[in-house]
Amino acid sequence: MKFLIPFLVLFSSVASAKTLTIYTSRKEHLIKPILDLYTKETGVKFNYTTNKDGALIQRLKAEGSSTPADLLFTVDGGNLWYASTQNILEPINSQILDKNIPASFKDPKNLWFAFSLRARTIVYNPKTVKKGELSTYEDLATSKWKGRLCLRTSKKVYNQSLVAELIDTLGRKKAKKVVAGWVANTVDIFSNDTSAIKGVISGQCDAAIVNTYYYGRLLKKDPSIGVKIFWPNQNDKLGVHINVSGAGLLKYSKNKKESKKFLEWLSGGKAQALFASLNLEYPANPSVDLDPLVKSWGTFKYNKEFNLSKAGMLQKDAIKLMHEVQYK
Amino acid sequence: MNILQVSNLIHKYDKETILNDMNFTLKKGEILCVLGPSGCGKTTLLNCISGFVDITGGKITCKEQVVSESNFTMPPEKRNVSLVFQDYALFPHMSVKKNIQFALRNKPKNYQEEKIVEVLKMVGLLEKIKNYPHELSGGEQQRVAIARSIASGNDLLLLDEPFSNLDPNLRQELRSELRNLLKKNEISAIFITHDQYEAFDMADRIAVLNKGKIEQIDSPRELYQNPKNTFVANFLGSKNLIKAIYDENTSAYTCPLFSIPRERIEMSEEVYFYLPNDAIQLKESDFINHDFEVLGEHFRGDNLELEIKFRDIEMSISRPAYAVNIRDKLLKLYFNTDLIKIIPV
Amino acid sequence: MKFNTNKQFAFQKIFILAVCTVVILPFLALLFRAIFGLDSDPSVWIHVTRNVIPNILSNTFSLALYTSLFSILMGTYSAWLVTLSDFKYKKILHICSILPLIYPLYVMSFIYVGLFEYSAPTMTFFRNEWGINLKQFIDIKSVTSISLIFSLCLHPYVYLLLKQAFEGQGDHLFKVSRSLGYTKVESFLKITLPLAKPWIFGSLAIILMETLADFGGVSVFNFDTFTTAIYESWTGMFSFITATKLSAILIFFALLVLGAEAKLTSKQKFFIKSKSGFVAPFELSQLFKSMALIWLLLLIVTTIFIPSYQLFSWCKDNLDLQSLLNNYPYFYNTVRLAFITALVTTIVTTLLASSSRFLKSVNWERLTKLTTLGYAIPGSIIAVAVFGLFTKIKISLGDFINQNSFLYFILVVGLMTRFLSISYKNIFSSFKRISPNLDKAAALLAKPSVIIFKIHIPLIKSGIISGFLMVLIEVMKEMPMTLMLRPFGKDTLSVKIYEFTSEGDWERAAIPALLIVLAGFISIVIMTVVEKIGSKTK
Repeated sequence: MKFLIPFLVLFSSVASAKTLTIYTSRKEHLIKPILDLYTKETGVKFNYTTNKDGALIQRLKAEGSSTPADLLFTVDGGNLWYASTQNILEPINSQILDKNIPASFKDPKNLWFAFSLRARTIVYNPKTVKKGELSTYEDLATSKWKGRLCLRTSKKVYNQSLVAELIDTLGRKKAKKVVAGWVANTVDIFSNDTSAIKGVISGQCDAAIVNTYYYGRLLKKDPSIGVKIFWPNQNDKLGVHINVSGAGLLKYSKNKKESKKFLEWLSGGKAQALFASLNLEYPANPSVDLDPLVKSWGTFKYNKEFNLSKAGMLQKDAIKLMHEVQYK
Repeated sequence: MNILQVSNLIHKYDKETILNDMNFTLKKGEILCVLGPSGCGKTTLLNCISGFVDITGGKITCKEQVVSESNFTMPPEKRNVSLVFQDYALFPHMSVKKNIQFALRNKPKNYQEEKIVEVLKMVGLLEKIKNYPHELSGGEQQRVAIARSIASGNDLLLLDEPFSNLDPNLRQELRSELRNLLKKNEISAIFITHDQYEAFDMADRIAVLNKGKIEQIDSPRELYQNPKNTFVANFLGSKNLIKAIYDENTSAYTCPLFSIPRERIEMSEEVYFYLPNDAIQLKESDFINHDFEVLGEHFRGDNLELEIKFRDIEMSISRPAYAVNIRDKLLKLYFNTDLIKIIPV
Repeated sequence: MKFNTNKQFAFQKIFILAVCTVVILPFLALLFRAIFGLDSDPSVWIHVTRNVIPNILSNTFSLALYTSLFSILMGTYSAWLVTLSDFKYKKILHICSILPLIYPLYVMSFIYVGLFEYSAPTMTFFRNEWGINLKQFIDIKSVTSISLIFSLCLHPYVYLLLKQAFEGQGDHLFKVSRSLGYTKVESFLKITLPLAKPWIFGSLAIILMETLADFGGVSVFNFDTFTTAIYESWTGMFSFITATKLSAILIFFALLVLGAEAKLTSKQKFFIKSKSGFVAPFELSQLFKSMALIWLLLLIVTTIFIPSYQLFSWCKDNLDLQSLLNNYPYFYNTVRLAFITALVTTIVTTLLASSSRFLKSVNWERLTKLTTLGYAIPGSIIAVAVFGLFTKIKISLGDFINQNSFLYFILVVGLMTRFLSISYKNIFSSFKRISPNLDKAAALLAKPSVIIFKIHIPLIKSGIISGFLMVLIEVMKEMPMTLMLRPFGKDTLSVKIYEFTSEGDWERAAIPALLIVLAGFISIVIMTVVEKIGSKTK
């Protein structure tokens, strides 16, 4: 390998100061505007690389102390929990963050904080679904929904977290029955939420379980799609399943102070509003106003005691469960 | 019965006439060599006879059956014609045994086994029966190819410069071997070559081809003694052609060496004297003689080839090495005008 | 003259060993981890063996089987039509048979899913206007459909190699066979096809590798295979060990394929020299002429018309100067990465082929063949393996090496590891055509470095160029490895497409998809032009 060294030296260069480096699984077009805004306000520049959560975490582990990254942005509590167990994050002690972000949306040890929320709920076709037919997630597993349901693949982490919460609240046995029922009722399993919603629009099925922002995006493109949103489990402990998109400070970051400042800014009013509205999500900071379209969907109840870390802890089990019932 | 009859064969390709009114027949067991410069249509002729190419006009008949006409071409697999190529064309993925077996389809197993041994013995390669082509030398491969053709039992064998890839000694050896094999098995053959010595050696008759037309078809000896024109003479390797001018006064064709009285022949514009080897003698005699300068000599083992010159006439003669005292730089040659031919261009 | 082969060719031996090490070491590290690595949660692996493996085994197996079958049929038919028949539209068929190479599997996949999913405009149209539910006839997510779509993209490999095989044979063997009483069809089956076996097996190996390693395409179909299971156990069940174990199984299958191909083609050491001119022997009857025409039209519709129509109709709302400009940096990155990788890979392969030839030893040849193993490993696994290994080296060398350059460097290395096989196939089969006698003659006249440049390279020029261009196209299409290893600001088109298609955002994915297809198209054009020039100078 000796001949590699001169080769590598040729490419050496010096990194510039006052630049934060972010590894993010949140898509570029959803994070760039926020970064640009911060740059405008403070002059701090950003480098970022997008990739899947697993890949990013693997990379951070492999890079160890030589990592150039300062912050990890990821979607889904499960991923955040996993990151917190891999010894790559450092707890942040910040009064601002503690004030702005509710307890159920941050890691118990302050290793990560949520910055936006999304609900995984039911969308339905009002023409084919009678009033009162919809009630709970579990109800969708009953025979009256046979051939009327559209599901997204079990491989997507959003479903895994949903099932994790079901396991936590209903117990594994009951949760397995519910998921098995869904699989029996579904007409097709889609690789993404948008296709599942399109299934409802085109009449392939009557209802689907999806994330709110996918619904919002389609609605924005075409307000006449005729699909409505429903909040299940409003009368029991489960409530609507909430998931988060969040970030953590990396243990080997070389710009910890600056990174912390950025996160604190992100938890504040203006940044929160922009961050959430870019993707039609809910801001993690409860004092911030909602995007009008999101607001129009109404309010709902969710289980405040369910910390997303639990979703991560139960994720493996959730996947096993889904495999057991042949949920593709 | 004629194995092959070619009548008025015409083959055109894209408005160009490749074969122009060819006529010849081939008897059973006869070996015909086709000699000619490149591009004269030799390979096309083989393609027509073997059925890979349609003919534009005329007829090809094999044993009384019409195989090619302007509107009909019997497919090659139905004809009784075998092919031997310059690159041996042995199937590389088959052993020698399987290669030969390939030629024996539809025959009972024991017949196949016997025949394979028989033909391999004929070419002296029985011990290579299990080998693959790439394990054999060039000469061995060609022998196997020939054995394969014999095994097929086809009456006619077409060979396209089969020995061009081999060294001269091997060539000579295989030539005589092949001729013997063909004669013994009574297989007719058409043999393409551009080597006149090969043709002389192998052929019962030689057809000299020029631009799709047969200039002359005769036995080798006849061709050598009486070439029809200078093209044939040149192609047979003769350098002994002297331009003949007709002298009205003496009513004879003349050249600086001699003159032959003759009536003027309406053959062509130009006319040449053709001197076969035996028309020139070293031995003292009554014939007209001249002193030639020896320009160079080529030792050929048994004989000596001499390049000689008289005024501006250059010729070459071949003599047994002992007959000539090489030290002589001047050679007296005697010309037997009875044996000299006059031919057109 | 005595050749002291021990000291001679030392450079060649070292070079071959070095490349082997670079290619195999990550793979060995992975296997080591799979067998001896610590498993923090063994229950995952047990669960996977019970509930996941049976399903993905049958899926992967059937996908591989059907795709191979369809590809061989399509490719052989086209190659036969173009080289051995008198089909009038050979030139067009030739182009249409190579063109699908410009489509990555995942692009073709999302085009067809977008076309045939329930809610697609076409399907909706059929349902609403004519009351026909096309889904009864065309289940786009069935193994058959997926295999057909994959075969549309992959059969060019079969076509190209078989065309080479058929053309290289010359027509003497065919003619001899016919003169011995075999019809055209019999001669084709008994002589032409068997002699083409190395090429058939070679192309089959490529098809199988591509299918086994695909991740982007099967994800769009939501079809569970080893690659998706590996990804899921790693990122979903957080068990990297399970992922490595699954990878090891996949690698085992791949080795099986490679081993079978090597064994089946090792016997055929023929040097088929084709000096003879060629007149296509098969004259098509009216029926076969129509069949050929239908096949050509089918190809045009499925690989040119439908994809362009779909991509353009998805783009049309977004197609403005701004979005094109936005995509330009990704286009630039894609082309730059592909070019550098193709260059490095071609040089390395040429040196490998030449070195192996000088050494003239079966064992060294086998060792050299080991360098093609990278093809068996899915891109994301190579990425992690290469990353882990080189980062350790980097750390020991010190911190002065720029991370971005480092990443780019190992990305190129990783890509080369993966695509050396393609380069190898093109260059080595070209080399096989050169008779060893030529080397013997040359050896007396010049030293190895001169021989490489003055003799080997000119003779295998077509192999070098087609190898270069094929690697170029493959790198442009590659996604999983690029996704993992790309440095900051070096996003490629494939990465963008994946991001959008994983969210079902076909529209946003269409522009980068079009750009990849465009870049691939230009390469094919260049390849064809070069081929034409090459054949003229012969």
